[in-house]
Amino acid sequence: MQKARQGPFLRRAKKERDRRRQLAEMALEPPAPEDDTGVHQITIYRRGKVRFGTARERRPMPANFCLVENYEEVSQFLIELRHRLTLMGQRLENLRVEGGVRRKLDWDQRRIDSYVDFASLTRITPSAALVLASEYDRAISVYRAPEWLRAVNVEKWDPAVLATLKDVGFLSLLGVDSPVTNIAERNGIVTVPFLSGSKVQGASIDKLIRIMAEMADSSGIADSETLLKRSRVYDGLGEAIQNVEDHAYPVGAFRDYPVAKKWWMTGAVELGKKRFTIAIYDQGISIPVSLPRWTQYDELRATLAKSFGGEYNPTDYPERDGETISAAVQLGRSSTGKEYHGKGLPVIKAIIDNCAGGTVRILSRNGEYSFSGGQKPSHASHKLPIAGTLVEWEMLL
Amino acid sequence: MTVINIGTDFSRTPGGRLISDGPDSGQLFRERKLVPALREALASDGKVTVILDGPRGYLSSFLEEAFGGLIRFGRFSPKQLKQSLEIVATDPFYEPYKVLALRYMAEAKPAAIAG
Repeated sequence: MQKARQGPFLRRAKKERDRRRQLAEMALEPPAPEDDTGVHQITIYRRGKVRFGTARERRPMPANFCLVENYEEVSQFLIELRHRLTLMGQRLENLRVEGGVRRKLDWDQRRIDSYVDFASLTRITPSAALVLASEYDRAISVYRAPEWLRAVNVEKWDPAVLATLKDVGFLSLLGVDSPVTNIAERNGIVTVPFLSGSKVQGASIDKLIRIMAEMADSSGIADSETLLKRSRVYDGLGEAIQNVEDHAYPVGAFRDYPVAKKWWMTGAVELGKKRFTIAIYDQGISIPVSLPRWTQYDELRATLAKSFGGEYNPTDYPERDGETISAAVQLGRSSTGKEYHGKGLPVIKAIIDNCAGGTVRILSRNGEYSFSGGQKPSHASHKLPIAGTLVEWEMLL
Repeated sequence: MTVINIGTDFSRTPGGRLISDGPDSGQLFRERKLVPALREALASDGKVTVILDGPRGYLSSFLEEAFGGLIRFGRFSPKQLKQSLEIVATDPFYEPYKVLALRYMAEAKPAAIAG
């Protein structure tokens, strides 16, 4: 009986020794070639452990993961990622129902059908990294499955990409790295690990502002906390979060994918340029879809009817999302205070007016609205949507 | 005279509109601080001064709920508030919040239904 119990243990220990030997030699050995079926060797990072495994297929990420410069490719990837994570989560739930989930997961850990290949990434912006991280965080929250997420071939990732993902908190989300405790400067940029929540939490906004200000102060940008306060960043972030609370996640609106009903935010400081970037994202129904519930909707509808020569429901016209968001921002600004449960969009925009310069960009479903200080606002509508709303401020203080 | 300094007596980081929206909301401020102080002031023919200086900033929803809500829920009449409530912003940074709070009170209608 004792022998039978020792057997698997000794086998595991031998495997572990082999694995350690392989890890030590990995840098010297060329990667294992793919066989005819495409099966190739991979390194799997999960919950602080590193293992070798095999995979049949890889889904490369867009090389430039930036929602400004490479919107269509990135949004296409994010749609696929959401679908992929949802399928994996559903499969995990099925395993739980069937039983033996740990044994089956252990088997899965080494033989993977397909994986997302981060090694193809050469650039990722903090805002895009925030959206990416939120998708994984959604999967963790909805399917209660932190142990199931993994990273593959981390040793092959571009160092700059790895650093951004680490700084924004993505690696600790996957369990590859321990939670970020020391915020470090990399190439003159400081990135704050993402914060998330489901309520209007002034303390969280305050925390983000304080961390950014401390990092900027320690690098010689004088009195940055006061500068950030004077730009009224607190109000803008707060309005964005209140919008999430009021409008983003109405009951019964999400049939395709389960949502975590949260917001995520991060910030970065480019010390040399005194440039502060703050982004907040939610996976809600988006601004255009929520507008019919707005108290100023009748006015908005009239404004849009003038522009297009006829009334339309913004929900049904994603190809007009850019114009719709622009009209909503404009209407809020010119309003004489009728807004009650309004959308706070003018406050979100006004931050840029309070800075020495900068840009605010709102991406919501298919629409994009941007405003740079001293210029006319611009808008566009993309072919593909992003899930929810991303607001990004680039501020020169 | 009662003085309520929001930054020191309530929160340095005021939140959103309703208690259900999160901590330090406008509703909480109104119900916990403002309404009791105003009731006392009206009973004793006194005055309540609310100092806006101090916090990081304010959300419009906080201000509307805290100040507009006084009238919207029929707790006080505009006349009563004119007599017994003073809103102060000494730092010019907080002046727009004062303007907004006064505007919300001026435009609030009793028992208006939230949209």
